Amino acid sequence: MTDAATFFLSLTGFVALLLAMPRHQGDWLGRKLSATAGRALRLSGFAALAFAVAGIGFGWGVGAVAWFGWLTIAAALVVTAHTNRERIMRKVRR
Amino acid sequence: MPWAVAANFPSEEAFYKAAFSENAQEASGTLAAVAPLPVLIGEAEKVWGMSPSFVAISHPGDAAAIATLYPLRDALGNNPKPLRLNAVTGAPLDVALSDLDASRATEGVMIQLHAGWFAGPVLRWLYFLSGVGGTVMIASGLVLWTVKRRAKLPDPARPHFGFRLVERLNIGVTAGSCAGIAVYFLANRLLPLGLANRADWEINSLFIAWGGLFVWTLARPAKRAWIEALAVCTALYALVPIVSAATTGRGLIPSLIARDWVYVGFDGVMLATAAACAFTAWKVASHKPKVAPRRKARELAEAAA
Repeated sequence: MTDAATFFLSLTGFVALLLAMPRHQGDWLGRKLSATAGRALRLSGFAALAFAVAGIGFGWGVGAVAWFGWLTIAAALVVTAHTNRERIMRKVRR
Repeated sequence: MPWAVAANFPSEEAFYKAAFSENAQEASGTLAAVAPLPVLIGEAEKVWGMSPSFVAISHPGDAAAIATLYPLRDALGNNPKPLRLNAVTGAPLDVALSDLDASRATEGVMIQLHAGWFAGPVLRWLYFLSGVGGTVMIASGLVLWTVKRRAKLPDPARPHFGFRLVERLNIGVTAGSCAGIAVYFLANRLLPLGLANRADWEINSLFIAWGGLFVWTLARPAKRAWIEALAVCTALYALVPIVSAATTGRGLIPSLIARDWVYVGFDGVMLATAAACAFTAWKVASHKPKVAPRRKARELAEAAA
């Protein structure tokens, strides 16, 4: 259960960080967000990544290792989804 | 990483002597039988409340024999200390191992982090996936290095020696090591049990297979070499579960029936690796290299004219 929570918090965090970058807002949202909204996204993204370790029930030693593991998976997923955006969108529209 | 030892100690023996000096004890010269193992293990279970993972006995058969028992490694950093027993009587020795100093505690944690002994199944899969990610990153980086440089070559059809060398090494190292590891698993199951130095021959067969495939890929055109080497990898990895089922009682189907997920997982990973190799071979075979952009081609034509 803690694994799932850590993973989803990490995933949410990275998605928020991605959307906080003006370069990528047009790709995914179709418009640019205001600077305030971008800053809020960036802050909440980092907060989610930080909470991902706090939400772990393994204790600090093993928890830190598990946190890095889930961060890696979440980051890899976000980057893969982002670089294959066109392909995914085509599949979704069909 | 032996550098730290090499930089600070004249020899490896000197390092081990300094690091584990309390283990050194002269033999007394009088004969005495070692206590039965269950006695020693029972003593450890009494002290720790868990079983030892490893028992070392120095000077077995001597009256001064000492048994050192190491606990199971299922916690990160705070395992109980190793236990030293008089190996003849099974009584704990007064000279307990000195408290873990900072450097040895650090070493312990680094090794535990590296090997992941403490980790449960989910964390072990994360370790595995991170390892796969790192490996794929290195392999794809090696390939991209040549792809990027090929486009910049004056004549991509006839690259210079250095480029060809790197291209060849890439194929031989990436696909060759991959095939070698499959052969290592196969050798583990196929080599006769009575073979002298069997464990060494498992490792030898890894490098023999790797070297053989390397030589083969050198003799073939680059694209064919990739496809053939990856096809060999596919066949070898697909063979591992088949050979396991034929030579051991731990085939995929018996393991599934016994719900032995470790063995099921291993066979599953072998099959997934075979599938990944087959997919990559197919991708290479159906790959059409991009033609140079028109402007670039025109510049090249003008430069040639």
